[in-house]
Amino acid sequence: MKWLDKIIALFSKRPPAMGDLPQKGMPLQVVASFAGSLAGTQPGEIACDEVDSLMDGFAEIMARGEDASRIMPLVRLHIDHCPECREELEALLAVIEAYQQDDHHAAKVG
Amino acid sequence: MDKRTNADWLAAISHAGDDRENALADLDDLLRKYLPGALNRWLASNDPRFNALVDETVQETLLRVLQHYPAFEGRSQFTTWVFKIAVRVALTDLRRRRWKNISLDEIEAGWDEEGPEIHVAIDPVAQPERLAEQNDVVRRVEAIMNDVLTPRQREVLVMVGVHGLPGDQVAAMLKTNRNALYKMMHDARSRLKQRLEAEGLTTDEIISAFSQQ
Ligand SMILES: [Zn+2]
Repeated sequence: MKWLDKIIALFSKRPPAMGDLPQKGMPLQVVASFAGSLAGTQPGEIACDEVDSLMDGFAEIMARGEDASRIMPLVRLHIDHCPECREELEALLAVIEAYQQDDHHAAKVG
Repeated sequence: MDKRTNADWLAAISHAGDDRENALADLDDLLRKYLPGALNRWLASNDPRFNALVDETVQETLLRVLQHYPAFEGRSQFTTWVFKIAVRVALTDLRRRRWKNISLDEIEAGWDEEGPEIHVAIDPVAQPERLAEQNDVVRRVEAIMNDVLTPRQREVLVMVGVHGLPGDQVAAMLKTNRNALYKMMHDARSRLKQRLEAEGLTTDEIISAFSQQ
């Protein structure tokens, strides 16, 4: 999926800060990432609350190295469109990976 | 580390008493041990506000655990569910701190009741090699956005896209919530997708028109 790589590349550029904007126009890459997100727009998307109720399970599947996107495609789709849920998932993964590492270590020692 | 099962956690927490106090103390320890490492990407751990953020997050998380444990469905480990609550509390707080000085009045200055017009900034000095046909596609997409999207949807796009506000802050400013905002912007994407398809504009065409050489 080449277009997806392009969108991710565009997404990774943060929009410029307020003061830097000539006539408060919308930066090209912002509209591009919005337009790019249209390709993945589907009728049955779930919103943040439902994703929140599924996110712990989703993160555990990811932490086990399984294909969470295939098992829970609607959560994946939402994460692609929602920066807030995306950063919460990233932080949650960091927490449980650190916790599980210690847990494994403790199990081996003990 | 603790070896409680989900059932052990729930049994301990569901009744006031020593078991509950011990379980909460253990959760307190776990949060203080594992949460900071995930937050220092957003706030440096040597920042004077860092410890207060962790304290407040832990307190709020334990309150929510007590409030919401009956809704825990066992789809994950109980500790993962608690971590999830903590992460959401902390990051929501961080986003609010970062953006609290921007007022809606400031952003809305100069808009009429029709909401903002989407105007895509093409800087001819920075991008002299842009082709005329690229710019044509950009103007077409811009016109379609102004035609198809509601004033509210354009407003949200400008707040997120131009001002860089996170969705939960936009929701708070517009007196709605993050969930409703997502639905609103899903509707915006759906409308726009339909219209662009009807006008024969493909995603690839749009992306190449919007990329900067
Ligand atoms: Zn979300």
